[in-house]
Amino acid sequence: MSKEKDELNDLGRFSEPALLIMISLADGPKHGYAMTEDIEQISGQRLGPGTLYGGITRLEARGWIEPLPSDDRRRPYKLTTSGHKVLKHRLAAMKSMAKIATTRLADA
Amino acid sequence: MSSHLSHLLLFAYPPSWRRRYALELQALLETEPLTFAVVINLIGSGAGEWLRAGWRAPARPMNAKILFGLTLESAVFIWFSTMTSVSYERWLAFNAVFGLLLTGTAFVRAVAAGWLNGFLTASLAAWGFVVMLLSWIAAASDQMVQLPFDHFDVLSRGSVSGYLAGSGYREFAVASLLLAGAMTVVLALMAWAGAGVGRLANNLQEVSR
Repeated sequence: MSKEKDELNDLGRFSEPALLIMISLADGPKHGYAMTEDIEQISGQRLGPGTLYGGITRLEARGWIEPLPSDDRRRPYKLTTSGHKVLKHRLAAMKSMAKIATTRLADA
Repeated sequence: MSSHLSHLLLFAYPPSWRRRYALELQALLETEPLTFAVVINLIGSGAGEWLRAGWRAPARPMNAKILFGLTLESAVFIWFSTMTSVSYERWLAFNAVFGLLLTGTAFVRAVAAGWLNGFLTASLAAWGFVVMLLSWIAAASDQMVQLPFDHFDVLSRGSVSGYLAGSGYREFAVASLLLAGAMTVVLALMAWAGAGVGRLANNLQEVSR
């Protein structure tokens, strides 16, 4: 398992919100409210504001997302190159895990 | 949610965090309906940020002023310990002041590494200080502890000078030197380690990027 994937796991209870935030930012920059709406649409769960900003804080500290300049109070964020790499690794791992689970279910 | 209420809820977060994220979180909160779940979510996340800030605050390296201060304190302690005209009570009082200075130094030093490191380091330092003070008090009553030298009969002689003039002078001086040195080194190490933890966390964060 790669270092980046381990680090996403190291976010503890924020690893899932962080993953959802990164997925939300995969198609372009978004601010907090847009991320909340997008995440609700793609996953069916609405992140609380504290959880959302907990995830943003940790992702920004690791350099996986970065803020963009804004005149508004609402600041948009975008995935960085390393964030893009981390997300790609994580999605590949999830895909592989889903494949194994599907095979096992079929064999059962 | 009203801007007044969202502003109040932001106080669940540490100041450093608020300086960076308060405006945008407040903008988000103003779009959210006020529910019990949102309030709990913010308070819980705020508590998490306080803990995180405690561990990850920037640390300052050990500097010459701290080393000079500790050396000076130790030198004064040793000099005071060898004075021949000081009563035992005054000497104990000086020990208390000396211990507080060392504890305070360690505390100020460790706070720079984050409040949690500061709390842990100061607790250890305070514990060390109490042990040091108790050992002298106990030795004075000659009941509770056995110090690593014999004939510690200060009270019966009435003063430190009386004791120093006795047969245990050399042992007493050596023990004082060792104790002062050990306390200085231990407190300095604890403060340094407190700062080191914060610095290490920052370094690891940099490396992981």
